[in-house]
Amino acid sequence: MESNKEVLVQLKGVKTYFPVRSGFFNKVVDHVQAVNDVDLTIYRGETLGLVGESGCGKTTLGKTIIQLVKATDGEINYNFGSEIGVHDLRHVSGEIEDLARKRIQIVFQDPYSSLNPSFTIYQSLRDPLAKFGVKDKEAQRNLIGNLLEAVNMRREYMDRYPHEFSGGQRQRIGIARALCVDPEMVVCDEAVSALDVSIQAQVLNLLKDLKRRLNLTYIFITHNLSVVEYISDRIAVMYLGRIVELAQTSQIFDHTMHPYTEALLSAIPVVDPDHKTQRIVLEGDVPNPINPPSGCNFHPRCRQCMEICKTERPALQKHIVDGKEHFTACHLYAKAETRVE
Amino acid sequence: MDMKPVITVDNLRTYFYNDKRCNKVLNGISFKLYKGRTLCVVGESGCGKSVTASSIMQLLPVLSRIESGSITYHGDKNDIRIDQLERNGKTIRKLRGSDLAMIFQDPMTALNPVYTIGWQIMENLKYHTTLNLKERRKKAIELLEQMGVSNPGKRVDQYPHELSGGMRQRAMIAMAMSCNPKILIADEPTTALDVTIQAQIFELITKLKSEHDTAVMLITHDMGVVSELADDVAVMYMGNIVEQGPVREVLKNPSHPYTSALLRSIPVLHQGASQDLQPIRGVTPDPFDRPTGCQFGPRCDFYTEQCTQMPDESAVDATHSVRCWHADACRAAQKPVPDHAAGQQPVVQ
Amino acid sequence: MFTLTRTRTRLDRQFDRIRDLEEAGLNKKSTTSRALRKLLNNRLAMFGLAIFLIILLSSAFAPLLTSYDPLGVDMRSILKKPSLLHLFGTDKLGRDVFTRVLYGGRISIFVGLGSALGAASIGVLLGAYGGYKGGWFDKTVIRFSEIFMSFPQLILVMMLVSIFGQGLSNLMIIFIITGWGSVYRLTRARMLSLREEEYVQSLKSFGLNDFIICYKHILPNAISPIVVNITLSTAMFILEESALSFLGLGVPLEIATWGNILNASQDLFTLQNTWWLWLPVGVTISLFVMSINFVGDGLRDTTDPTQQG
Repeated sequence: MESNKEVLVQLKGVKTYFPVRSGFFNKVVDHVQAVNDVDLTIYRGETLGLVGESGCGKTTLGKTIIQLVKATDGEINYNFGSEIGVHDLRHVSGEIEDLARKRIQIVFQDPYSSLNPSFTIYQSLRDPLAKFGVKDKEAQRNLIGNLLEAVNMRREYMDRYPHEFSGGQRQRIGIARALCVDPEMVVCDEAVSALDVSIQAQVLNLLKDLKRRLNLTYIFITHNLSVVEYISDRIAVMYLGRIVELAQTSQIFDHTMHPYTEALLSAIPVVDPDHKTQRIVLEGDVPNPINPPSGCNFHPRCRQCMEICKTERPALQKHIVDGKEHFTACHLYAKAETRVE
Repeated sequence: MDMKPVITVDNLRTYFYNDKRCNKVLNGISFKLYKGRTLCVVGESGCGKSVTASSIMQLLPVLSRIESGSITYHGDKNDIRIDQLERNGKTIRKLRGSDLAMIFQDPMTALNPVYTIGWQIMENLKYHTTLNLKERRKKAIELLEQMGVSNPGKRVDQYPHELSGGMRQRAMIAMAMSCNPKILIADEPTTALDVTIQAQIFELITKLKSEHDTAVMLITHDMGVVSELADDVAVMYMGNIVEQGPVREVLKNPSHPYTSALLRSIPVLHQGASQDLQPIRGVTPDPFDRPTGCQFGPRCDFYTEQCTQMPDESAVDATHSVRCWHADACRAAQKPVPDHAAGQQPVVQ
Repeated sequence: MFTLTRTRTRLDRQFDRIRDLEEAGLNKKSTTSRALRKLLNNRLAMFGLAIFLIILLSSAFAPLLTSYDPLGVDMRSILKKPSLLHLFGTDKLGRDVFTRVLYGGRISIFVGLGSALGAASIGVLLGAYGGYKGGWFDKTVIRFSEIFMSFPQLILVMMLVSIFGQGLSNLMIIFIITGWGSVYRLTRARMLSLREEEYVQSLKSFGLNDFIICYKHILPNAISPIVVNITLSTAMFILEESALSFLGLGVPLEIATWGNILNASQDLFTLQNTWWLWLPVGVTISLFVMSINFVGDGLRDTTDPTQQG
């Protein structure tokens, strides 16, 4: 159960707002509420899937955790181990900041822009390695060679340029790069979405294998529910910057609670011509994160919208379903107790 | 069901000439489009599915041409050989928009950002019909309403950047359907859209197809889309159609090793983490360094010496054909197709 | 069923040739960079390169090609027509024009290239960091560059010449001061788009120093338009030097530069009667600038994917 696992990252009330400027003096008129008050716990050794559609904030959340984007508010508490303790990533500096950069790494989506086209693989990886202690050329080449072999590529490839590789190979190089500093946690930002379907399988299996061998923790961001089901232990469903449902993978699919998750699942085309899904087709478009609807963000499109949904925002509450923890933010299941986390 | 085809493509070869090299992108493909039926052309990047659409619409880039074969449009009065028409000549321009229509993948770049969507729809009507300005505007608003665009009277005067992705795609479909074309070619129309919006667009295309009896050619790489929308499917690999037939047939009884390998490498919803995902071994060959004979050979489990010769199209039955010497062995070796009904929760009404 | 046969075009014949070669297996995947191949195939660019090299090397090796002194006055051979003894004839002070053109080339090319490189250095240095980092640095520098670019060059030249006097280095300083703005904007624009690339984000996630990311990793990808700009700027500065020297504001008159040679031909008499004083040097300037433009255009075309190459 979750209580036995060690907590690696604890997010409390994380908000990432982007200012919208307008007018002659470029004044800030509004904010894009990309990530809106997110509480999340990530346990060591798990794969947490973050799913949602465009504009839901999943990519921004991933980048906020790794500090590529600055959070506007909240705490991102990272467990550096018993010696160093727990620190808020938003306020670290110096040695601890360097350590954070070593412990958390990221794999990007687009294999065509994720590698520097003017550098060989070796040249690209040289500087990060030097920064984290591997300065000797021999040692560098040895390490890079080992990494390439770990992702099922040949050592000699380190002297080649990115344009000599296919999309799937480039993605594997991107994974090798993320691993070059020996991280604990890897954020996979749509890591397989830009690949051909048959190559996706290769990379997914590779990620699973590496996790097992190197004892990694993944945050797997994607919009593809079949992929996230295959690779994740737990899944968090996001809508308009908030988490609407969070549970173990099997729970999300077998005991769906939130109406949005339901609609999302039913919208996915199933590869079986005999099976015609009873599709829940949502009305309207995904609303604008600059001006989210009042009350529950989802209420304008929800088939089960009640009066309270229009005015009061439902908190993310813990429920026990089938003996397991299952969080959801919906008035259909609201309990009198306040938020638990 | 009307069994007379609207488009017959016969042994089409399209070659691309870049960097003084000749790339045989389409290497002899044949298929037919029928009224009121959807043909899904499915394949991965580099297989030539988009080039097929461009060839039919005569929208190929400058450094390419239709090498041989024929594309015949069976119009109301006569048959027209599209491949023989002058590029951008009068005949093909008359056909485009009124008989043949196409919608593209990225609605943001497919619509002109400096004109309102109403203007763009009306332009199509202006060129192909004799309606006057007022009538055209009325028809444009009607079309937007039919496509499910809310508040069409206001939307008709809006610019593409003021609309969301789903609405832009609807506007593009409205443009395409404005003259009731016999054939609608959709090149990955929902790849850039969210899955919930994708569901809406699919509903729309299905409705249009049944109302206007349009022949739809849908290009995609998503097998789920094929399963939900297609009547017939053509699987492409490196410039050849390796298998084609009614969708139920092909998905239940894949007779080409590529089709079955593809189906086995896709994660199936509700199968969970324990399913055995089998990536196809090897990589797609370099188009300039192709294997001789069957293109899938080096990656195929059923490869024999015979495969150095390109297989002919053989019939599995009346409507299902395959291009493989070992189609029987492939069918026989089928592992039971993952059962998609099992493990699925009862759908909430 | 009626058929219209399509007319075959020149492109069709080219295609047929390529296809037949391909089928005979004679089209090997070439190992040289595509850009290089495209450049070598561009006849205009190659012609330009040839002319450029001829003029450049002639100027560089001037002592080998002529035994006259460019400053050597010889009052006995004034205004002699071109002959075997004096290939371009002699000028009003009996100096051999051919020699002056060759030696003049040294200075003009040096000024042109030097200014272009100098302006590019400053422009790239500031533009790369400004474009990458943004913030107050970028905002300040861009306002700065606008001030410099809006300065009328002639006024600035006259001011500086009247204060510091004529001279080669002054001229180059002025060119650099007024010219760095365009390279700055070019580099900055490239940087603005390149900094969004994912490999840059990856470097940031490793916490690498901003300067290393900006100058070592991103800049090599922005270089090609800058190189094109340098070649074209060189041509522009040579013309400007000629113009300024022609107006008497550049290098002192006795020293041979292309502009100074033109300077001496300002009157109607010279124009009509002693054509060898202005025509050869004018043609040389034109050829040199044109050849640089051809090469620059060729370099630009190597990045154009729609052209057959």
